[in-house]
Amino acid sequence: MECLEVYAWLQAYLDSGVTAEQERAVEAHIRACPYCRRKLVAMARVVNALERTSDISPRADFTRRLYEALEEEAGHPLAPRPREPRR
Amino acid sequence: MDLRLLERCRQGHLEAFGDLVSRYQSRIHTLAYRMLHSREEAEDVTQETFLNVYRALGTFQGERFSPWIYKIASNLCLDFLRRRRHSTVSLNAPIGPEGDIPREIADETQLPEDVALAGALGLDVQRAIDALPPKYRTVIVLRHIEDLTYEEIAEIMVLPLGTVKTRLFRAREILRVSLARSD
Repeated sequence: MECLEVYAWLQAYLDSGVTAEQERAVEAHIRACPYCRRKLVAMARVVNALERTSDISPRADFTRRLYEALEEEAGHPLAPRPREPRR
Repeated sequence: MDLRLLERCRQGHLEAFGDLVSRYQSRIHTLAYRMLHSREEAEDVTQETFLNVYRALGTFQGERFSPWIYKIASNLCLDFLRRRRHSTVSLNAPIGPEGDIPREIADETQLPEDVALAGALGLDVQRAIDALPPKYRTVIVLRHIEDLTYEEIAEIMVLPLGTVKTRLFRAREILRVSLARSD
């Protein structure tokens, strides 16, 4: 199997989106091909860097400001308000 | 769960809207921050997303809340990026006929908020995301930061599944190349 042929499978392999047969073909190819192996490792590193991030909460007074905007829109107070996000 | 909350909102139980805000505000803010790399703009998008949800409470007909709110938020992010492109020429803006070649201008300044908000994502990775064209940036953030499936992304972006995969694969390839350069 050529590198170009395996490329889409290599990508899908990162998302566990290949069939068992394709998985075997990808693994056989990367065992034999240092070029694709390096590519897969580098792409997996990018994916890991993205996926190990945590959520970023808005600033502490965000919910208060949101409710002020909602109340302006509604033309009346909206109660009860939710708590500010955990930080 | 979300649809039950939505139904309660429609019946006038405003605490249910508060529950939706509590459930989604950090996720929507994270999406917007990763797309825009600006705390101010990310909060504006998050606020505008909930205002849009509130306005459309009576008319929402969908079967699932999550793709709907992500669609609103990602479209708002794309609007912000479009407006930015029209008002200034960003040093990070991609170039090339297809707009998919990242610029190679190094920006050595690191704002305090970059450090505080990095959320454990290296600044080099965030900058590589910043340099992606918007259509690739959306798909990479929805897949790997928000952890959504190909199918959910296709629904949010109103794209065929094959296009979602192609864009994701291309985006990861661009990130791989640009991060290899910054090593």
